[in-house]
Amino acid sequence: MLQQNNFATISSIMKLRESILFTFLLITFPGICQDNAFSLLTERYVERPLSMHRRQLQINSGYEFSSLNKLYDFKGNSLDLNEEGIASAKHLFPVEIKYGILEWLQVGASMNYARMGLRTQNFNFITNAGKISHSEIKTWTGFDDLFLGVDLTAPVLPDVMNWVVSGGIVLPVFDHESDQPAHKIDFFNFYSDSTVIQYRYHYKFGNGIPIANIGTSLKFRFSKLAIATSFYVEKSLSEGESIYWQSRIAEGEVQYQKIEYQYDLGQTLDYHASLAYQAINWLAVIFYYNGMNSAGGWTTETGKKVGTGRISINSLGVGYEIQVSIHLRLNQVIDIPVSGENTMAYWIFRSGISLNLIPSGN
Amino acid sequence: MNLHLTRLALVFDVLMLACRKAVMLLPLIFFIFSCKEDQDIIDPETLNHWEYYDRSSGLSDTLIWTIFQDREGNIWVGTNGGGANKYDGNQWSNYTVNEGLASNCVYSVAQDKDGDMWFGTEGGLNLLIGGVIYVLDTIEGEPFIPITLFHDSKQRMWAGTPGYGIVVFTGSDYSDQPISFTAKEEYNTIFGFTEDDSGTIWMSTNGGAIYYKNSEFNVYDSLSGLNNNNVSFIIQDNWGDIWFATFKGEYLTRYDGTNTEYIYMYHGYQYAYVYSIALDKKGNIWFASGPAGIVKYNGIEMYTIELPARFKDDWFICSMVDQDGNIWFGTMKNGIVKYVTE
Repeated sequence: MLQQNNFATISSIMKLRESILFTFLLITFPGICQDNAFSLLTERYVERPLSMHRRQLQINSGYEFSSLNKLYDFKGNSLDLNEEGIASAKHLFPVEIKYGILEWLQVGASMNYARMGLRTQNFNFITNAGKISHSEIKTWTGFDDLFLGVDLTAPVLPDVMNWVVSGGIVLPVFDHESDQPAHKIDFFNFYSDSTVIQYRYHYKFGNGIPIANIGTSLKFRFSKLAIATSFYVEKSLSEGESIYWQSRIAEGEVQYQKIEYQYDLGQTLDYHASLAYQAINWLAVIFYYNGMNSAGGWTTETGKKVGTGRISINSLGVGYEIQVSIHLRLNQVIDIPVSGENTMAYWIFRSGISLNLIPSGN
Repeated sequence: MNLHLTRLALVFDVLMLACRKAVMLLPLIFFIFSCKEDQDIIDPETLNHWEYYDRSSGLSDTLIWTIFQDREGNIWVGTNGGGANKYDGNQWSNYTVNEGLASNCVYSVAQDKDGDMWFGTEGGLNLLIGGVIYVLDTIEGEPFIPITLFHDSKQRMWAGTPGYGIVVFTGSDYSDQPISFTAKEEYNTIFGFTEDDSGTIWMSTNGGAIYYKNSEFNVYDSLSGLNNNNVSFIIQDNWGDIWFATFKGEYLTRYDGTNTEYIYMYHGYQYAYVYSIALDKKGNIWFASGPAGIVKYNGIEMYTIELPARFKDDWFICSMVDQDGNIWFGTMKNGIVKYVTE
């Protein structure tokens, strides 16, 4: 009996050792020649896979400037907001870290810090109490949510095609509720007998609820060209709660009170396509198409469960990437909206820096 | 034979490849199909517009004294000469003297806890119970004309009269009338009732505002700080303050229980008679007035709402917020205006 127990114990220890050995081999098996970090880090854009090589660490950052250009209404009609006196600018500082655990398994995290302002035109009207001048300034400041993702590369025709399936979650790590507004009201201007009312709202970028993200990307690689396409679905995992601020003038001062409401972000489809041309070994020119389609969101801000409506935007972009050194790549992109529905449309100028490392000794 | 086997092997390989691809895409396909559309969500394109109801829509008269929504969601309208009109969301139907009403002039409408409808008409109080209309035209020998009716949270039906004070119907079948109030002549015409969140019942009169609290009547008038004693309408806003509108003057009175403040209606008119006030679900206050029309107050600014030209000389004399948050206004000439809120 004792011998049987010993035999079973030894057998299970051997199985465990086999499992550990198998896992070790799986992780360390060089799918691509890992001892040549230089060649991996200097791969031309068109040849580069969509995800990281094993043990490759990539840190991306940069600066993105967006300027409000136009607004698309529910029917897709375009309204030039510059003519309407509405202006907005957004400054975004993205940070993204990716790491290749295996040649076919990548993990990543990203987050953005941004500032955005939106100013409406002055609206004047005359009453028997004098002239009233009214304008609105809305600002958004802070970090948005933290994205954690995993990419899996499919081992299908690796010489021509690179196919990645991605999954991730956007986690609300920062406060998403808007700060108390600070309206500025000047009564009875001495010279013009007028009242100037400036509504100042302060918002945050966070979604306030976790969002699941799943998608797939394909890249076809040729000697001078690469065609890539990707498709992602995002869906909020729960309904959220937030606040808006109600304001009034009482006893000569602006008073505020919080009103709670519920919301859901619905689901979003993101789709992208790009065509890259490798002009020279260290320079690639890339043409982009970006599309977004969102539906199913709602809010109870007005006391009813009102949909946020179908939102879509399509844009075209062009950019380039330069391999500056083994570890450093620079890129710049300009993106211009071409059509949409129920959304404001920004043109975007993005400058990015990408630091790539593969530890030596592989 | 070998060629045949090779072909089979090739087909098998292709099938296996397709299966592996499909397995990788399964989570994505599942995720997409889990995104179902919620049927309760209101399409925003159907909101934020004005609707108009007049004789061409099915109203029997275009001078509207009152608008009321029952618990089933039907809209009841009291008209000057067309009886009571009922709108079920699709079409209008009429209750007139032909159906048993004491008069076609309907000043007020309310619903009791049993779901029965009460109509205050020129010919007395009319109760619609099980399809039959019962009339109460006098109380203690005096004509009983309820120009306003209000059912409170304690299941009491308050009736205000033009010159004879108030009558309150209480008890399980509303047959008891223990509360009555008659005093100075100017208090005896009651234009409306409001219940605040503490359960106090407020009454609009020509002598100021009367409030009923802890089984006692008290007066809040110009001596207490009210801007004008000709109170036409009282409402509590979502800050907890009580607003008093008057038939005279361009100021509204806001009372927080301690302090009084006057709000100037700077909408370009030298005077405005505010007949009714409605509070939307976002806290905006809407004033139904004459001749200034509909004025919206967002807590900071007053806006006069632009309506079609035919409303320019019209007076807005009643208002009501329905269960969906839409705001209904009754006019003296042009029937009903409804704002389908955002």
